[in-house]
Amino acid sequence: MLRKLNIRWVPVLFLLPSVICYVMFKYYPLMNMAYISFFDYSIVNPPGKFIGFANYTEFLKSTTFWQAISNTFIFFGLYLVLTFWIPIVQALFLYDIRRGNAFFRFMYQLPTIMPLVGGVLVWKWMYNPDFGLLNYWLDFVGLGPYLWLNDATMTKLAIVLPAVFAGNGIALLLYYSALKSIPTEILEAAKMDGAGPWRRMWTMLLPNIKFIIVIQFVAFMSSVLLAYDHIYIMTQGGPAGSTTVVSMLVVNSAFQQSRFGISGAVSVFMFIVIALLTIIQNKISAEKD
Amino acid sequence: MERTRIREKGGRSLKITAYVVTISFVIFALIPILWMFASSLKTEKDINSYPPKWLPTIPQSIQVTIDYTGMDETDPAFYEKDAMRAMWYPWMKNIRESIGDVTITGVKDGRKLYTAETVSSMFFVGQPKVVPTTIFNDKMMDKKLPIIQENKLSKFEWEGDSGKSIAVTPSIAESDLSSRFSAFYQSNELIKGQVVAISEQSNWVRVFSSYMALNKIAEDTAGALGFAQYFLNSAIITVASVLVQMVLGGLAGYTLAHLIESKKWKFFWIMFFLATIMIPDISLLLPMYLLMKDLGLVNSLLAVILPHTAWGIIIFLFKGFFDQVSKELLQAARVDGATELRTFLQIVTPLSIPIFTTVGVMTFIPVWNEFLWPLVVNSSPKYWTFTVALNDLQNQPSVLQNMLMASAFVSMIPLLLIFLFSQKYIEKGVAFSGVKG
Amino acid sequence: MKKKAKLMAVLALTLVVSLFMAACSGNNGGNNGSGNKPAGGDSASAPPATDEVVEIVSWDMPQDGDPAKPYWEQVFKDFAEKYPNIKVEHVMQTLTKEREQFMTAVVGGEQPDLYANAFPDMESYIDQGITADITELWNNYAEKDMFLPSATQAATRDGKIYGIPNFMYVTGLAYNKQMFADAGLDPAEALKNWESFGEAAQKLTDASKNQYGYALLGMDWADWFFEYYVWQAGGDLTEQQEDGTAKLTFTSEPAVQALQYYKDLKFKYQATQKNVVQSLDENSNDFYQGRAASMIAASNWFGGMVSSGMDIENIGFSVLPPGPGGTSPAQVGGAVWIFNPKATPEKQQAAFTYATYLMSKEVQDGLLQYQMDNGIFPNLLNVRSDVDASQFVEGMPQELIENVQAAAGEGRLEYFLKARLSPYVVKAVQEVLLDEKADPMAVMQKAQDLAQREVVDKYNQEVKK
Repeated sequence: MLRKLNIRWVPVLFLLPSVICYVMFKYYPLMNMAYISFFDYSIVNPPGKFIGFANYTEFLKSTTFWQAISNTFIFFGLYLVLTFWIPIVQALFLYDIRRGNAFFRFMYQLPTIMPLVGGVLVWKWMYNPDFGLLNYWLDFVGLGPYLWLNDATMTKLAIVLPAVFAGNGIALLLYYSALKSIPTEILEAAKMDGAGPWRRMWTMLLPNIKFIIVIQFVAFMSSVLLAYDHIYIMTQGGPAGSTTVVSMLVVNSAFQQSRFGISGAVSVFMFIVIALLTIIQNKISAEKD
Repeated sequence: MERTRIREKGGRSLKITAYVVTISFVIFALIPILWMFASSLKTEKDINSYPPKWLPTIPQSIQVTIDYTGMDETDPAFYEKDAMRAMWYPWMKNIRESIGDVTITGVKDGRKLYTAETVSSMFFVGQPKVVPTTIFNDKMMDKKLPIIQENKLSKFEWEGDSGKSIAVTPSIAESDLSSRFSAFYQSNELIKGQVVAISEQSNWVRVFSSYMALNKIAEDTAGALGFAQYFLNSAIITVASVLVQMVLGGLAGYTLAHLIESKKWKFFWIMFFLATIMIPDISLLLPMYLLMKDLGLVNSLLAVILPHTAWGIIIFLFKGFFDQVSKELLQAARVDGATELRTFLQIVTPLSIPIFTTVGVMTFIPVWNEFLWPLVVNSSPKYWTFTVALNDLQNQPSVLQNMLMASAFVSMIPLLLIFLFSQKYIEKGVAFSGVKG
Repeated sequence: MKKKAKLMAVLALTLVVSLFMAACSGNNGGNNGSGNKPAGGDSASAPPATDEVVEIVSWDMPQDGDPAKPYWEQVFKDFAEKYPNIKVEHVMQTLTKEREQFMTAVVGGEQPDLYANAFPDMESYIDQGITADITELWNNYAEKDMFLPSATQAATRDGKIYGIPNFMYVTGLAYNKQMFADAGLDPAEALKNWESFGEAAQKLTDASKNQYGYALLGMDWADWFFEYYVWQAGGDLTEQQEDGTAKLTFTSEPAVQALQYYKDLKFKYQATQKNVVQSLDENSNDFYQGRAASMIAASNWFGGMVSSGMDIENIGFSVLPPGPGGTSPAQVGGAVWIFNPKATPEKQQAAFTYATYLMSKEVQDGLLQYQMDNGIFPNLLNVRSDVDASQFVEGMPQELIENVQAAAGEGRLEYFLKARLSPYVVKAVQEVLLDEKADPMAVMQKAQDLAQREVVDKYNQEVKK
């Protein structure tokens, strides 16, 4: 009897502070945002005129929005194919490095702390078709010259490329921590069974960090689908809308055009899309377990 | 141990592959950072040069000797102004050249009258105020000298009658810069003395002038508050946010992993926390601002800290790691009569130091770098963070591209220290006993 | 067990409570903004006494590095002495994310009583009621006729006045005289028309010297300069109809010709930088460094050019080469002081008094004098007709001054509804600049159809209501 009570209360107490914070600083503002998405929001006399779903129908009908959606998902695909696996591979190999381990790990983290504005500016210089470093180097191996940010078919790649170079130092740390927490006994046991080092990597190490890969994937998905800052600084969404992503529409409609209703509506839409994707992804990975 | 590993079949190939892969990734990661550092040492001209160059042009030191023989003036201020004109005006005319410093030696009747010096960092800091344009006139220096003196932009040492005797051989160096300076002195009558000699040599120490200039600008613009205040604000905000996240996130993550039995509820709570990462931050800007206004927190450090108490991914991460702790271990503690809080603090936490460290680092960086929200919610400079202040600094008219790069590079230092400090705790990984289950 | 759970409940509650206690105590810290509120409310309910001090907030503190900052600080001091019953809080706005800062302040009910707002935003801010109607104050203002009509026009809608002109510029073509001379070109000949300019720019381009003829603006603000070319071809991008509705003219002959000319500059004459989407700053940098031989510049940019090391004698300024339309109107832009519509009448009056003080001949002349004494380059165009910047310039070629004033003679505001249509025009311009095979007519047709459906139809409907 007593024990039952205990089990009921402890989780509540442990969760309560977080729940309060989330309600206050996420759900309450979120509700407000969802609320204004049904208004032709007036910033002088909020909330303005109630217009039902008109904001939603307006953006769903606009071609700019659908171009942004398609750009956003192309970015998602590019980041997934080109960058998501990098920290996993880095961590798996780093696990096998004894000498200089701390040094390499430290080096991997450097790009993470490179300030955004300076970092993007450096890449813009490297891409410059007149005097950039990249074309200069590619010329040695007989490639190029490329127009990079001046070529609508290349801009998306040019936005993702810095992330390929930089990797993801934080994700690397997470994978590495997860690898480190795999009990050595089970690795030793596998070794006794005659599993070579390469096979151990595939059959023991990788499966044991699967949980963190799943978590990282969720974080990755929302961060890529909502990416804004570095794309904006690099291209402002251009040229010819080739790098305009959905979160850019959210910002532009709010702060360029002061149409906070539309901005809220697009945000709600994105929230629902990403939440659905996450649920599906969660279900799939749960079933596989 | 190590040896047996290497002898194992496939062990060597894995090792070699591991080093090759790791080193190539590290090199790729370093290229942009090195390019940033190289750019911070270059002049604007170097930055846009083709073919691109890694090393900056070595700055030149220019020495000018001015002879005042036959001049009756005795007021040192007269000579000081003349020296300032002779340094600042031709330099402004050649602002794009790589000049490291200019030294003027004033002589009269074979004796040294004064020496004056301006170094490049001070020139670039003072340029918008002292020589905003290439238009010069006679009276201008009357207004500028107090600015130069107040900000200690140039050095001036008066020797007067006690000056040592000095032999001057009239000569103008043949180099490009010297002849440009010479041409300037000849083209007008702004300098009262007679320019008799110009010489120049390379001075590689001055390639770091962008860093020196930045330091000077930071001292000047931070005013009474100083960068120490911004740094302190950032430190308070970041440390508080990280601590709250660890405590609240750790507790909640533990609860989700081990204290909630019902699968349905578990899923509900996970989604409750996780869903919050799917909202574009920017769209919460206004509602959040209004909330802070209602709470009366606009212009306070708490306004920046509080939103960081709700980061969905943190709880999800903690849950993921705590899931790996074996249930039997916890059960054993409970049987011994430990409360849940004690189990968490004494069993789970020590096992999870690497996780707490990683999460700490992971939250530290974005909180430290956060820009828009602190700027919007705290308009009063008293509550600015380091990042906001740095951005303000970067927008100063005297900040050139090399200084921007230097500032980006410098701003990495606090985070670098955090990484260095955290390394050993990440390494400390004590394996969770027992497999998942 | 139960006891312990209770203890923990208390602990957790304490944590939560202390968090909020801390939150509340932070409130007393330094919330100046809302501290003003009750005072304003009181003065609204009580009959205004003449000696009562009115407090206003103005976002007009110059940046730390602004060389004219000492002058403005003196002006602020003088004003405080002359008008002891108006207390102005001067706020410095940081230079990034200005819109976000301003918008949150407006929504949060903390709109400054005085704010300098750019011309193109006036249209939509008036629509939204962010700008107070100051027609009455304006009409009682003795010096109202001293302001240039093209400046007041930006703050006028249906005969009502929504702001006081703050500053103004006029655009034209800035060119590097030395580079023209080196290429054996006579600027007067080269700038005669589109074709001569294109050929000259081609001659000025030399990859081996890392230099090119004309810095074209193809980034996010591409429509800003592109509209001039439409004007030169004798048209415009939009027309405002009698009833206030908008009509798109993207596919009119002048607009298409202008786009074709842009395309020619890039591909036929190959006279532009390769990186056509680079920012305006990068364009300017190229011009300062002698990489670009010409660029479009505004009358208040010469200071930036000379402070980056250009020789003033080396800068030429002219109206843009006229196109097939035979004309070349210059664009005027600038900023307007706007007032908080929610402020009490007393505050609005006080802010108006303060703004007119800043814009008085005395203060404006004083600024020019200060700039001249300190070797700072002035904006050659002033919003007041009785302030003559050319009186305060020393060492500047007379020809340059004359050319700026000539350009201002045919000043024109930016195209109607720009704030909303900009993305459509920019996209069309970029498509043509990036793709040699793109057909200007088809691109414009596509942009117009889209803009019509997504913006103009809705706008016209609202106007007609």
